[in-house]
Amino acid sequence: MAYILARQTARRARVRGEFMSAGSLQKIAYLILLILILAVSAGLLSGAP
Amino acid sequence: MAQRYGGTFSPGGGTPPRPTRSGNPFRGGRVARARARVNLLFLAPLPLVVTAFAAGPVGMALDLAALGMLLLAAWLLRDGLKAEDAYNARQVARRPAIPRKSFATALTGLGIALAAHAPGAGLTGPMVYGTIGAFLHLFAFGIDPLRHKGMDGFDAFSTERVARAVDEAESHLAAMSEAVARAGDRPLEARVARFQATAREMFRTIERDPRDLSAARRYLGVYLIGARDAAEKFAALHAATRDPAARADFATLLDDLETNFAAQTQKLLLDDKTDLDVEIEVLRERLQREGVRQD
Repeated sequence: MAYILARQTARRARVRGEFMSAGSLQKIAYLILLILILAVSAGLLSGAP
Repeated sequence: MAQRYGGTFSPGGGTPPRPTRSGNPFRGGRVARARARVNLLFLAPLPLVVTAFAAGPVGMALDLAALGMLLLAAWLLRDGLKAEDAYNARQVARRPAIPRKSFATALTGLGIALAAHAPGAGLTGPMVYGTIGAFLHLFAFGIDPLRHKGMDGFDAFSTERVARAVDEAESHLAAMSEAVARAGDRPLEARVARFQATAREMFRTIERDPRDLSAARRYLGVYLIGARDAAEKFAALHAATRDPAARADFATLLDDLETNFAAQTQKLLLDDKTDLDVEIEVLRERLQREGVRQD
């Protein structure tokens, strides 16, 4: 998924001259959210201050 | 949608009717957005099932509550995205009655905070995780549409009337689909889907010009209610007797309905074309009279 995201971002940067669109940022936010839920569910973050 | 394989030379098979341009059930359809992302959100909290059993009684209750909240949030998000897609597909639409995506955001934050909370530990850490999770969710999926969507140039009352009429007509179509699904006849389900595509074309035409509603009132009300009732009666009869004559009659009814709906839609479009012609004619005349002449 990270590879696809990087490839999309690079293509967009070439075509439109934009580095990162709102859609790419949304995907990144989604990935961080998914990792957060996984980490919390697996007990990796329990009780941490 | 999956279809049973079969063709001209299959047992009991004939040449399947080719979908016409107007009756193609996929015409005007859009790709559903972000469904794979939502599906992953159903899977992500599942490790809580395992960790719940290693956390003592209070920890187990907290973990299972967190699991429930995160699953409920994913479910609400999926329905919220479906509602948003339906809102975007229409020209005139009311905002979703329940702000599902916003509820999903709040539940995700709460679920993450509960999952991160360990009995005896402080609340600050879990609250920070929960807040981060809620913000990430909000940023990744956004909020629900908050305003009714209407057409410029038409008053709120008529667009509201159209939105209500289309909602009602959609509910008749949904009841029709459910009834035919009960009959368990796959080709007939596809036939009903084709009729529904034709009916939806009429809905979109009315949404584009709410003045068409009065001309199409009978189609959205009486005829669709009749079609729904016929589908329900056919489903009950077909389940009990598998009568081929009843099936043929129902298929003929669907043909008639589709023809009539398509013809009425064409008539409405023709009226729109007349409006456009008048508009163009008036503007061109005015330009000829008042505009700059290049002699």
